[in-house]
Parts: sequence; structure tokens; C-alpha cells
Amino acid sequence: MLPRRDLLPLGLTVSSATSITIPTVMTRRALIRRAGLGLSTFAVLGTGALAYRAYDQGVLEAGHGPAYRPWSDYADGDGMLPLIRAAILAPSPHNAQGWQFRVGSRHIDLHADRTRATGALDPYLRELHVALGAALENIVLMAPVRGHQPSVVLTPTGADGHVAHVALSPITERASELAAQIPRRHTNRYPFESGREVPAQALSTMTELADPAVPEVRLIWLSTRDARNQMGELLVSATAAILDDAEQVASDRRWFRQSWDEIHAHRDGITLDAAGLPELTATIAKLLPARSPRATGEAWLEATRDRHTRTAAAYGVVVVRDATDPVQQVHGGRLLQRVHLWATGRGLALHHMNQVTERVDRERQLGIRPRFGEALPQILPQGWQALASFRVGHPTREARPSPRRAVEAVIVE
Amino acid sequence: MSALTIATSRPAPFARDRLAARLAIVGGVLGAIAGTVELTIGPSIRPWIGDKHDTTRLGIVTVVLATIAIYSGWTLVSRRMETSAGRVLLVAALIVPGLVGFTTVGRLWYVPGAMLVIGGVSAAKGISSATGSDVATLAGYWSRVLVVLLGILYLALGVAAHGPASVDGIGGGAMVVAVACLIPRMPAAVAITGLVAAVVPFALVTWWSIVTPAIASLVVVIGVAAARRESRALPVSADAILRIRGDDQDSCDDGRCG
Repeated sequence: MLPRRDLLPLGLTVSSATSITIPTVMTRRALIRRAGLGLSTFAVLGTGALAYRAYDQGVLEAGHGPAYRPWSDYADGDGMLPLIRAAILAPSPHNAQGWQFRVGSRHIDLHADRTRATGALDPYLRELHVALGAALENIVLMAPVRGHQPSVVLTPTGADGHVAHVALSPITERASELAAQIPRRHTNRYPFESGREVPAQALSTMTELADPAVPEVRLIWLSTRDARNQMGELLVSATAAILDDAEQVASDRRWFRQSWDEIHAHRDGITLDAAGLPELTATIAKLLPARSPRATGEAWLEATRDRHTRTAAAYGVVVVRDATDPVQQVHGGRLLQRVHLWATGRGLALHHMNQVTERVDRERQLGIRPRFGEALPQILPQGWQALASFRVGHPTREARPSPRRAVEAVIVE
Repeated sequence: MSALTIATSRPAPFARDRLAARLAIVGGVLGAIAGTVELTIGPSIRPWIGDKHDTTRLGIVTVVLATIAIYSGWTLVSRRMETSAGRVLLVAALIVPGLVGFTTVGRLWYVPGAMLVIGGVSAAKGISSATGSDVATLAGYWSRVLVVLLGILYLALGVAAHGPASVDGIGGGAMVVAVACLIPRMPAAVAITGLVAAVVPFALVTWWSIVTPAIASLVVVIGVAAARRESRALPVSADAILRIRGDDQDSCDDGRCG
């Protein structure tokens, strides 16, 4: 019987009505097909590995999962619990969340968790107290919404870490525009709209958020081109100086969370999602192994120079009479939080940038020439000291949330 | 599978198949227990489950993987998969879950994972040596297996995603699997259109993830090749073969057979 290779192109020969005899010599076509199969299989295996890495790093889950749940369940619970849930949504240096709460039936005590201080970046706990002020402000703003009238006594000077006692008495619940922004407020590290000014009226309104009963705390704006440039240059120089300081770099690295599992294990710190990177860049950074401290530092410096300072519509500086006074630090933190919440409600973006004050404190700690300690007062009103600074502008993208520890983890007996 | 069929005589049962089946079933049952443990008390024993935070989804995935392995073991022992292509699929259904499980449930998978991989390797010895026709058959079959795997990956990423993107991923992945299975029964153009329609939405809304566009591209490339191959495949039915034999007989009658 003759084989019909024209009808059976794969080299098969028909030998009977019900079976096919397999030729022993592989055809060229079969060889090519086999190579194609091998390549395809290799590509699918590689893509499978990439898909697993993407899953393991939470590439498609940014801003979701247990570490981010406090942003959505902040209103849950009764009694004092919603107030604590609001407090933990406050900003903190390197998202270290250095707060603890003791809760009574009609009061809340706020404590500093000094084990969560940011080391050489905050040697005098200035930023820790500012963050505690922001958490306190969230409690004070949320209290009337939940039917409590707050009464605050500040005690941040003691060695025991007690910062504030908030007594709460019952009142009729009332809405608060600022409190409504608490779960929407995030630090926005993306570039802002270039060349678009923040209206003077908005800046003025934010200035008026300062408490008249606390005259030693104010908000000033650096909104002219010259003032912005001066502050921008100081920020870039301060960032470079931090990167040249091994201890400050180590303090910074301690709070960097690279992997998805790390984020959910610690539920604090700086994450790639909140770093203001373009989405594709953030994905690549997640898929690849962690970069070296030097490379990370260079990326931060580049972002500060090319994106953050270049697109700032204005810089706000919370100034106080004595930046070393813990009471003024806490008051300053409360004002800073009110400003951020107000800006959030108006669709403005705000990015905390404290590199300069971090260098000022570091110079003081090391007893070295006060390069930034001398330069910073030059751009401030006489008699005032910088406590905390930030840039403000119109957002190009919505900011992503940072992880938060569960409320149960910050309430102590 | 294509209309080409390879007739095989029913092989005698091999001891290694029985071993592979037992390993698959016992390993699968242990794996299912591991997945259930992760699902129920996972958060309390994180070091044992690889410190995974999402114990619910990973627990479910583990149970599904174990179920696939158990089914493969049962198929092997009941000797329902006796073509080479079917055997390849069966081996993949043991080894792939066996390896993936190590990443879903940590230490609890050490024993079941090892059993499944050993079982898969043992079953692989039953694959007949790949001759030219096997390669031809496997080419069409294996391409579709790859597309199904990509569809499952797509679906899994859809489960991981949130909001509308999740719907796109789950729906797209399921559609890829369905189209891949139905390729032999539909025109190539319809199959290709179905695959493209399945993968484009999720890849578009998550373009920045790199992985979804990569999977989408592979689905289209491999899927198009599989669909074209199926459309080119010549159906070899018994009637056709008889006609061929008749032609040959006629030729011989003409004295041209030599």
C-alpha cells in the first residue's frame, strides 16, 4: 500500500482503517513544532513565576488587605473605640505610629511609644510629638461626631511618655467637616500640577485654622517664587545631607517595608505604594529584589529635586516660638492636622517634607556647624522657629493610603 | 483533541502507576487537610503556613490544588487516561499542584508536596517515547493545555485584584479556559476573537502590572497557533481512510503499485 503523504502532511502513514503507524524518522516540521512547544512551555512557566511574584508582592492589591482596613472601618464600634480608630489615621514620621492609648469609660490618655521614634532623624522627638498632636486632633475632631465633648490637658514633658489626657462628656452628636476628611487624608508624594497656584484665599483660610488660644503656634506660607526656590533648595540640600549621614540613613531604612508580607506583618513604615512613584515604576520595584540603600537614597534625592520641589505650589511651615518645647510641638501637630484635613476637603494635595528640620536637630545633636540651623531662620519671620513643613498643590493623582496597625495593637491596659 | 487518534493496545497495569496513584491520592488528601487547616486556624499558626497573611484565599487555593491531585490519582488508577497526551496532562496535574502548593501553605505542604511530585515523576515514566506523530498530536493538545494554564493564571490574578478589574480578570480567565477547551469545535477566527476579547479588558485596566499584559500576549500568540493548527488538521475518519485505501487499490489495479 502506498502512503498518501499529500493527505497526511505530518508524515503519518495509513496502514489500516482503524490504526495509524508512527514513522520512526522525525520530520523537519515536527522538529520545528517541538521547538515551538518547548519555547511556549518555557514562556508560560516564566510568566507563571512572574504572576506568582506579582501575587506575592500584592501588585494588584495595593491599598487593600488587613494592613489597610483601618482606613475603611474607622467608624466601627461604640464608646471610645471610634475615637481611637480616628486617631491612628493621623500621619507620623516614617509612618512609625509612635502612639499608645489608655481608654477609660469617659476619657482617653495618649502616650508616646518612644520605641517607635525614628532615631537619628528625630533625636529630640520633635516629629514624634507633632504626630501625637495630629492623633490628638483627630480624637478632638471625631469626639463631637460620636456624641462626646472633649476637654484636653497636655502633659508631654514627663518622663513617663504621657502626652495628653482627654476627658469626654456626653453631648448631642454633631457633624464635622474636618472629621469627615480623616479617612480621606493621605500624604501625597506624587508630582503636583505644575504651574498651578493655590488660591491666596485658600492659603489665608488655612492660616486662620491656627487656634487663637495658642498664640505661640502659627502657620506661614512660602508662596512667592523666590521663597519657594529658597525652600526647595534647602530641602534638596537637606536630603543630600541626610543621605551622607550613615546613622540617618540607617534610621530611615529601619522603616522601609519592601515586601507585601512585611507590610502586613508590621503594618507601619514607608511603602512603595505610598512613595508617589509612577505605577509602572512601582510595579517593577515590587517585582525586583530590594534596591541597595544607596540606590534608594539616590531615587529619593531625585524625586525631591525633580518632582517634589519642582511642582510645589507653595510651602507651608508650622512655626512656634520654641521648637524644643514639647507642648508647642503637640499644639503644632494639631494645627498641621487641621490644615491637612481642610486641604483634603478642598481637593488640595499635601506632602510632609521635614528634611530641613531633621538636619537642624541632627546638627544640634552632633554639635556640628549649624548649616541648616543658620539657613532655615533666614526664610522665616523673625522670632519664630520652624516645627514642621510641607508642600501643597493640586494633585495629579490620588494619594495611596499607608498601612496602619490594628486599633487593638495600640490600646494598652 | 484533534480528530487524529492514535490507536493503542491496552497496556498491562504497571506497578509504578499504582504507586503514582497512591502517592497522588494520599498526598492530595494530606494537602486538602493542610489547606483546610490554613483556612480555619491559619492566622494562629503563621510560621507553619509560610507567614501568609491571606489565609482564606490561599487555603481555598490549596484545597483546590489538592483536589486536582486526588482526581488525577483516581484517573490514573482507573486507567482512563491512556493516550500519551492524556498522560502528559495527568503528570502536569500532579507536578504543578505539587510545586505550587509549596508557595501557598508553607511547611504544611512539605509532605503532600513531595508525594505529589514523586507521584508525578513516577506517572511520567508511562509516557510513550515521543515519536513524530506524538509530537504532532501533542502540539495541538499541549498548546491548548498552555492556554488553559494561562487562563487559570489570569483568573487567579483576577481573584487577587479588587473592584471592576477583579471581574475583568475572573471573567477573562474563565473565558480563556472555555475557549481553549472548545478550540477544536469552533472556527479559528471565532476562537481567536474569543481569546482576544477575553484577555484585553483585564490587561488594559492593569497594564502597569506588567504580568497581565504578558499573560494576555501569550494567550493570543499560543492561542492563535493552536486555533490555526486545529483548523488545518485533517480529519482522519474511518471513512476517509477507507477512501484512501480504495484510491490506493484503484492505483494498483492500474498496475502502478509496482
